[in-house]
Amino acid sequence: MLVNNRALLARLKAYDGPPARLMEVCGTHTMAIARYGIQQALPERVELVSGPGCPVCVCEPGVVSVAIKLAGRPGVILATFGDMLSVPAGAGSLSQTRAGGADVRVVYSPAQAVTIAEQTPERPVVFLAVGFETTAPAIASAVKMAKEKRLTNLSFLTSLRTIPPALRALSNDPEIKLSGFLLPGHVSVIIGVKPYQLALSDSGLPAVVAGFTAGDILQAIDRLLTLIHSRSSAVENAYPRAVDFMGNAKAQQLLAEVFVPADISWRGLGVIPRSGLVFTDAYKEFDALGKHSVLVEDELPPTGCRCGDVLAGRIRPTECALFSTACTPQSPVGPCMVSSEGTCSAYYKYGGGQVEK
Amino acid sequence: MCLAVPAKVITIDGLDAQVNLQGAELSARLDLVEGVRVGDWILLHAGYAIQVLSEEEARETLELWEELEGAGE
Amino acid sequence: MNRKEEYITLAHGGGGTRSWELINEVIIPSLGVESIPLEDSANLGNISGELALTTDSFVITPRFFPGGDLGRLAVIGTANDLAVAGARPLFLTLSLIIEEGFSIGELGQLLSSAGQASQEIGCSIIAGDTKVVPRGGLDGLFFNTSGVGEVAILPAPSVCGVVPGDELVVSGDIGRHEAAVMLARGAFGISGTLESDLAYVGEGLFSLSASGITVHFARDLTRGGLAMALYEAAISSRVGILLKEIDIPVLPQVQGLCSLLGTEPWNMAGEGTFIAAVAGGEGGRACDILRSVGFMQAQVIGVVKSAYPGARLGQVRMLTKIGTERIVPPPLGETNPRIC
Repeated sequence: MLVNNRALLARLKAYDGPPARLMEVCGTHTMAIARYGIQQALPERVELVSGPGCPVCVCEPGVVSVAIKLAGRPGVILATFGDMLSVPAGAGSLSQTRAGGADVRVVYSPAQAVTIAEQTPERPVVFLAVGFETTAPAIASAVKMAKEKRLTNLSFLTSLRTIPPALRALSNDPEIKLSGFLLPGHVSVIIGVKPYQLALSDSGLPAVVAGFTAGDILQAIDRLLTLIHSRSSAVENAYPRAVDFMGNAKAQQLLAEVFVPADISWRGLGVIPRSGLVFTDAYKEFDALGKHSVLVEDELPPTGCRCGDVLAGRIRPTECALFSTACTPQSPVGPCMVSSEGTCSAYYKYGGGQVEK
Repeated sequence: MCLAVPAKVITIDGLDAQVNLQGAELSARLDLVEGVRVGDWILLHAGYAIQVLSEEEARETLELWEELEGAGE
Repeated sequence: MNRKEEYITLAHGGGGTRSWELINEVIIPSLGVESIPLEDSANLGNISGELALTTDSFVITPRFFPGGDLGRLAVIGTANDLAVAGARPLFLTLSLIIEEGFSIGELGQLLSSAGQASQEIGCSIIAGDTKVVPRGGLDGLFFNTSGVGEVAILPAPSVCGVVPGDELVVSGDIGRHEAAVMLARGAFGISGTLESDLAYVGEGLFSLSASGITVHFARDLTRGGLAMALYEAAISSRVGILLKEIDIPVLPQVQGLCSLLGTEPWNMAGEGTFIAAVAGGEGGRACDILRSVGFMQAQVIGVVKSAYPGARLGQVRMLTKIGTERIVPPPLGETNPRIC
């Protein structure tokens, strides 16, 4: 279905419903919104807020420190997605660790970690497995592959989170006054639309699944504003090209086979019940924590770091005293600035989506 | 990290596929999808196909429809 | 030199007879330059007029890529730097740093390529140096070229010369070289065949000038891409720049690679594409002239404005395809290594 941008833009500008605060919970949406200047296509009464949609940003620093520690052990190969390299944690960063001589390898697919482990059977391989539901099935598939190939030298240091519980927590938080949610299109490819209906049933906030082109985002916002205006609590799918109501059953089955929900802490947000994924008993042997006898320790955020408040949508990046002073992309204090999809990084690069004319 | 891109399936060998996007070729795992054939389009994320798309759906995502009205100033 | 010698040894860089043999039996013949007595310095003779001087090093991998190679790149890259400063390239130096064990055959091929490029451009390689480092000391082969040119466009284009009202003209599609090299390298598991845009841009610049178009500023779009080149101008000239997204020429293959990597074409390097600022109203004619000398995709892609409020030191913005105006982030320098 083609989108008529001109008419859509005019309709958005003409929105005269109640003031609306819309939260998106996907780092790729954060970037697309900044890159297309979407905020400017909206009237002043509609505000876009970034939520905790960046898996790199919400990964607990203690996990990064464990990755650094393991990378420093003799013979270990630490495989990671590229966006985790510069994340600052108590023990430093993986890129610093690599510069110091550790064997840290960037991969773009969890299947590569399996290949590395196969090619170097005498060396322990640890894959730092960070992501939301878009990535978790791929990781689950790699874990299953490892089991089938009997790779005893491969383990996974997981930091996996699920979106609907976070939405429930945010929608029920009285401090964060939201009118509705833009839902992450590719997470939804996996989980479908139904989990959001359950998560939002208490708060009654409407939500719309959105794709990632400018047209997709505008259409989804238009739909969401229509729902808000009519005081609807509906959850709708504006990305039917890729998202089915029931999601990807095969991916969901794989997830259920390898992982099980558990309470997990989100950097800056605290523990959100049943919002994490940990290994089922059948696959526990692949948990890096058990295999290498390490524990994730709590780490206090650096002084003055307000990533937590930013991630929860309580403050804008500019309201953090460190923003663009002590904390910049070149010298980030917290993960919101270092991740290419982080809220503060997007704000810094794109001027908060607003330009003075 | 929701970055996922449409790509066309060129070859299939079991659960391994070679896919192509505008001349860029890379490999994709098919563990998460069903019934993929050569010539199909898939949505690729972290080296895995997470959805099968029709050609029309893929092209719309890639914004290859020039009919998409660009807005004026 | 033993005709059967295949590999560079440390002795070839030692300054003795082996070096002498390498220069006379491989380097000079491969470059295609006249064999004359070698002095310690080259005499440039009497040159009147303003001169321009530039230098650049080339560490690209792979050394052979669709559309060019290290040798051709080393000459054209430096010649382009002169051309965008308004100078016709006259003389080049060529310094080699070679890893022990490097194939002499490959070295000869790359030097031939360099010699050929310099002949096409009409400049001479007249001085050079060769060093050999022990195996493992570097990856294969690095080139450095310095170039002297005669300034032929006056006033010379300058990064400080951009003024509000100017139009920005790009000579062709952007980001192609970096995309071609990444695909050739199979970076991120992505392979493909795309030709680099590697080409000498001098004819474009000098044609503009010869047609009476004043070029206020010009840059070839290398590392950091279009965004970096425009930020240099915006900051040095203290102006604002507004690009129009739908007018920027990008090949589908480059766009596809950018989508896969989550980056934008204006952050990616070319090696045969330049941006020029001309007076307001001249942009259309400039494009016609460029197209007439082979730059078929030349396009006006933006305008220069007074410095934006809150960004006195220079800022680049983009009018997106949905008609919104947003900042173009300056590249932070996390570009791919060894693309030029």
